[in-house]
Amino acid sequence: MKKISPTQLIVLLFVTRAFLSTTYGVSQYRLNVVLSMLSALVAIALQLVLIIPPLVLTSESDKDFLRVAFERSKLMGYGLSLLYGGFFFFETVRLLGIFSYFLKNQFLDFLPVPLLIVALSLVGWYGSKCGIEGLARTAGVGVFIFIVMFFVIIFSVTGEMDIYNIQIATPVPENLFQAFMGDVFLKTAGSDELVALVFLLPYVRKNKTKATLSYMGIKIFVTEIMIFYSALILGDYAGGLSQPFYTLSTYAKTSVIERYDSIYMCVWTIGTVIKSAVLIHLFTKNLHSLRIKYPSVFAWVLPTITAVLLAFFGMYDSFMFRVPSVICVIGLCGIIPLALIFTKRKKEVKAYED
Amino acid sequence: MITYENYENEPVKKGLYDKITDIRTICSNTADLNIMEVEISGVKCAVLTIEAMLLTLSISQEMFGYLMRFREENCDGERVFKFLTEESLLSTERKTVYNYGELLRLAFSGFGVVLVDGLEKAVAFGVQGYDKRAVSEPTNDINVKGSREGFIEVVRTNISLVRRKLKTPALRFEMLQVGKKSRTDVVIAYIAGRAKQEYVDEVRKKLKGIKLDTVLTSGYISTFLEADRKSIFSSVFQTERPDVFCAKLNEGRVGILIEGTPFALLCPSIFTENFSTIDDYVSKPFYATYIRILKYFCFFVTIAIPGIYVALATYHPETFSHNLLLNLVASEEATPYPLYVEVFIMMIFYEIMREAGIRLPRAVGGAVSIVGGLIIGDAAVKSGLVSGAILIVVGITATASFVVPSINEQTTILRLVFILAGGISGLFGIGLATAFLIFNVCSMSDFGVPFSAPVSPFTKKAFLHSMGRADFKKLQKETSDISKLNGAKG
Repeated sequence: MKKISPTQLIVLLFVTRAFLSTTYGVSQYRLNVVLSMLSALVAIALQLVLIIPPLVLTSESDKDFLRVAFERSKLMGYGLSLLYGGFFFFETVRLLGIFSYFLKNQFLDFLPVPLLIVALSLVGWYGSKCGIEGLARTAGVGVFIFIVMFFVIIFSVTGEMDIYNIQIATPVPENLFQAFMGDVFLKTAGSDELVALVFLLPYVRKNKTKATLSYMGIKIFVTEIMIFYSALILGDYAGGLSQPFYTLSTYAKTSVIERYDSIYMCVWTIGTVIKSAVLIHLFTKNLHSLRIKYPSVFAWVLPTITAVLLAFFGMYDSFMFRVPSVICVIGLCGIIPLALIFTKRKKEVKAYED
Repeated sequence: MITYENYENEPVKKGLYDKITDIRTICSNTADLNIMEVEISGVKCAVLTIEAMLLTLSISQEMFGYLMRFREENCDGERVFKFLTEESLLSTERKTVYNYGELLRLAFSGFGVVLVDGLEKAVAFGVQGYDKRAVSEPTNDINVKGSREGFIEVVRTNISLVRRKLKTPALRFEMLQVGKKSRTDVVIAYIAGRAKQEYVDEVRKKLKGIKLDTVLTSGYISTFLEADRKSIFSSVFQTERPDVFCAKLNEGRVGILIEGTPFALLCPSIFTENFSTIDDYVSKPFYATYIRILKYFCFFVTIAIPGIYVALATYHPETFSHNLLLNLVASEEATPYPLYVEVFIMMIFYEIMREAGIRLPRAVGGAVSIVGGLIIGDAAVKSGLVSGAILIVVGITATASFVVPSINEQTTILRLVFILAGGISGLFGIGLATAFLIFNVCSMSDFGVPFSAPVSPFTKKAFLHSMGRADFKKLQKETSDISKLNGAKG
């Protein structure tokens, strides 16, 4: 198995969620900035708990996740290949839809969504053929662009900052706990990269735990800054927006460039393509484990046709965007790896007793 | 029956006339084959040479004169051969050959071969002296303050150019013949202890695996050295300069010199190498750093600016400042075609002019530039076919492309791809094209060294060296090593 460095893992995970981070809807539950920042912290704490089983699993053996499953039992191997393959397939289709609709609604109303989906998935499929090492290196270049973009947004709106915009006394929702937890789950649901982490950890050369924790640290830092900055610039208005940080990019301007949003869209496209490449790669990996013979183009055709059909029948709004991803993330990242550890231990105990 | 198809491993025959007949049969008595029969101390011999491949003066004065003076009583073939191989200094290079393959290869390389009656072997003397171009300034890798020496088409001269710069016994040359028909001399060069033995073995293996009939330029070989042939960029670096060649060998690379071409190959190679020149190591570090960053910027300009201009002006005009937007609208209003079609046509037109300028004689090439640049360009704007702004964009792009000439082929195609992508779907298309480009560059990895190193995987020291030039006081402490860029420490 080809290996990537811990830094490459952090970078790869960071880039795969960059679009989601920078267009994040933090305010669906109308929490004020402090509560929103707090919910982000709780969400990270929940995610830290979730990543313990995959870390334990890879610390015990450096084997591929599916190989570990197949070693437990063939049925479990096939079952998990199907389950995870299905998840990555679903996430690919969903990502293609989310980004295509975002483009259609915000920038490219003259282009049909199916065309956007086909173009995105085609480049993503090409990227998926580079392998994890190639993808990690691509993310290494992509992260430079993202960092530049992030700081340009931050600095170009600095003049608009006003501390009075932070309205801590924003009306608190009636059922605060439910709203707060709803926000926590929403933030966790957006962390589908944690499921990818389960598959990526065996590729990491060393310091897996340190790399994962560093990633979580960077993630919470970036998220908190974004929430804080959105509130600092936009004030109460941020609460009514589905994508407050994206709004900052339309707000940002310099003497050379009047509006930055379309430039950021270009950068988001790169991030989305990298993420789709990772998802398609992992989807293909699971398909291989199922021992199904298929032409390689199948890995591009299947998600693309599905996404195009869903868009054609308008099913993204009614179905795809409503699927409770948090259950998938908790199940696939936390519970199943935990079950694998438990199964092994049970076997070991039985063998000892025998 | 011996023919040109099966002669390679055939042993040299005993009788002189059998040998001569075989050689004439194999070569079908080709016009440039000279066989002179002579008697040396009573033994029948013949000297085989190829027309205009050796120094006539040298062979007649030193070789023939020496042979004719040899007189011994009761002399036989073995004695003559012993005299030739052990008791005479006819040349600095002497080889005993036992089969026709080796015999003819040496003869066709400019050796004089002495055939002796009664022996199943022959002796070849290195008396090459064919016409060759003098060592002169490279035509592509031009510099301002560096050496004016460039490689030439003769591989042995190129070896001497390298040896003169690296007078260490660690510098090794290995000669191979590649090409079933051409039997081109190909030399593997490396510094023992610097280049990893795996690299040398891998290069040797790849060269030996080439089954081409002819090897006439470096391009014939570089394809076989690349791991990813589908990539846009080449992971084999080419240079015409012995100084660059030596510097890269010292970084642990393996070099390949090829007979018949002034371009030497080096591998493994990385993307950022295209942005450094030997002049960087003559100028002060601050200026060299500035120039290097300027080159990276020019690379971005040359591939992306026309596409970005098309994308912004067509789909995202809100990005431009108000005054700039008004000016662009005014200049674009009267033109008949969509912006991307205009830019695409102008870029193709520029490529036609460039290609014509390269292929035509230099005197006429200048005229092409004048006709194309001034007359047609001016007329195109005045007639309203293209806007003035487009001419500026095309002009800047074309100028920037000359700054990084080593990747001109790639930038030419990528530029057109970016124009089409920007024209069809704005900055979304540019984003897709950029992602494709990054995937392409990052997926390449030869000899375990990623082509995208030291940017990704990130290696701090090497990254700083690729962005700027460190002071020699710092450089003397640690020599760069290509094998350390594999990301193992990342």
